Amino acid sequence: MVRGGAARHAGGVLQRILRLPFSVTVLKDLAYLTLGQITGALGFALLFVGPLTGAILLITIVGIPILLASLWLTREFCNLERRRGALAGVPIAVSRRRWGDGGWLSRLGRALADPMTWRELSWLILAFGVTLGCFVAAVTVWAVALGFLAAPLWMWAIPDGVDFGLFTVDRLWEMFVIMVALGPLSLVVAAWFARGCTLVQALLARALLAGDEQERIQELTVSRAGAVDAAAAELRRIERDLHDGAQARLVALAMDIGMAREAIERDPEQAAALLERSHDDAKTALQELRDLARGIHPAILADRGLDAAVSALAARCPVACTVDVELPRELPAAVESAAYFTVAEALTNVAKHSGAARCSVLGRIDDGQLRIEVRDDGGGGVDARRGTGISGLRGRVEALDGRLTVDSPAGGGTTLRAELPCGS
Amino acid sequence: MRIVIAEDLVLLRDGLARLLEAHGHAVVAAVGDGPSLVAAVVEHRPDVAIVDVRLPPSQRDEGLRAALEARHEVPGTPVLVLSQYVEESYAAELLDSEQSRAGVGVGYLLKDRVADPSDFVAQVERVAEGGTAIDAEVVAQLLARRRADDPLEGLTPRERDVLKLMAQGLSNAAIAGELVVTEGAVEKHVTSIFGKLGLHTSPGGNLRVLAVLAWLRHDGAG
Repeated sequence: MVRGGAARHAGGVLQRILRLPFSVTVLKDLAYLTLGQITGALGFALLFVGPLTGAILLITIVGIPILLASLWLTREFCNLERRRGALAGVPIAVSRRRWGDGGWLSRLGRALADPMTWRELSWLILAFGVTLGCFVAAVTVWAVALGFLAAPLWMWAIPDGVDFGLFTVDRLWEMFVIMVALGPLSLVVAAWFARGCTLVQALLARALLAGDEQERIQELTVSRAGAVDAAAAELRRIERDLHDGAQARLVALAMDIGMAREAIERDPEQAAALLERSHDDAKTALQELRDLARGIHPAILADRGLDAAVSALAARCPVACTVDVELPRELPAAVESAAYFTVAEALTNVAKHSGAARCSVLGRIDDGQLRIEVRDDGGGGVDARRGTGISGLRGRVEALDGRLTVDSPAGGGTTLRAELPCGS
Repeated sequence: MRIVIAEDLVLLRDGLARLLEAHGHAVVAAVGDGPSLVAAVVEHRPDVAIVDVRLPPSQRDEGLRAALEARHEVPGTPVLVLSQYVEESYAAELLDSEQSRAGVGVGYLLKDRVADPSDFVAQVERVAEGGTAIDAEVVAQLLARRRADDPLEGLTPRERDVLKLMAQGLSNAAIAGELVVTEGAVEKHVTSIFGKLGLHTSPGGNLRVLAVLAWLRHDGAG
């Protein structure tokens, strides 16, 4: 049994080795290496145009904003590099660290004190050589492999044959022998060689560009503060809604009933009218309390899931709304509710401010991320930093390690996009 | 009476106007924010202004600010402030104003009190006549404060009841009605309370109420 298992295991390994050239990994590796050689050169150029120029210009005051901007650019560029890692199967979390608010000088100070800044700069230096080397080596080996495989095709180009020392290959059938004997082997070697080059580069990138714990802690601190703010704002909103809504309604109701009670002997007709109004007020108060409860945690979300809850929101929206949502039932509750309130807030804004004629809601799971998009064809020009609604949502989304973006060019409609990791 | 109302929620503003008109009073202006309240008081010189604490734009204590300002513009205007919840410090600010001390009517009541229209209107009338109407909950908050060596501990239960009603602004006759005793009995309790708290017996009326409230608010130093 054990030996059989070992044999099967060895067979499995062999199979994996032989299968690589025919897998999609080969294409991904080649794409990774090709892209890498381009980004490597671009990054090297960026290093000279950006940080180095900025540093030299520091002798004058203009150097400060230029250097700061170039460090920011470096970070964003390295974020592209981090994303490129996904092609190699070595994804690196993008960096969202901030150097705070305040004056340019203090921000620059924090940027320079940030170890990741220096690691990113060293990646720009190293990447140029590493990516070029990896690319050239992998392409050379692949060229040889393809050369062997296509041997009979280029026979015409070497009328004198190829001298291998012991023998000379100068006939067509000999070329076929080369193709059959060396072709498949070289193909496997080339694929694994490219894999190796890819991993060398990707692991080096990870060693330099992967965020350290400190950054993660900083990120968590910011997002937690955001969550606390969002929760406090939410409580204030609930208090306001109660104060202006149900509570006021109940005061009016009590007043009308009080007046009715006093009038019942003296003026039964007036008392009846007052009671009728009280009855309406009581029903409205119920409705308002129900709406408020839904604003805290909608029952439909718990009962029927996000898909149905979003459809219900769209149905209530006064602007024509199409829903295209394909989501599994089992999402983490916090993600579900953040997504729900994102859609709710977005649709409220669409109805209140956008002047849109139609809007759409899109919901998908991509790569373990829940992506929610609400798009309208209204006036645009929404400033995401203004308005408590959106910043409240952002706090909520970032608390879950998500991202909220608002794209709203003036006159070009508004797209609100939330990405929430859902750990699946 | 001619009344100005400042309340931002239309539902309650209309309700209040209806209630007051049903009791034979005239609502000369009903407004929804602080600046309009001041303008309305200046224009109409009402017998009393009924004001919601929380008004736009700030939605904090804008109503209280505006009421004090209106009273500054038109001295002697009685003000009754309404609030969704009572906060002793708001009442203190009203009572500490110079005009309240000079005997201009002042009131601070929970909005819920409109549920008993006759009582509510009686309190509006009391404030309009220069009296004081302080919500029972404010008085309860004041009485709940613990003091070192508390003279309140020396009061009999009945005296405590009288003190509570007195602090709310009720006259001896009204207290007697409330507790179902004679006015003479109330007078005796009042004298005893003043003695135990170390207050000088004042002739009665609003100054007596203010003295009691001041005593309660300032740890017996008043």
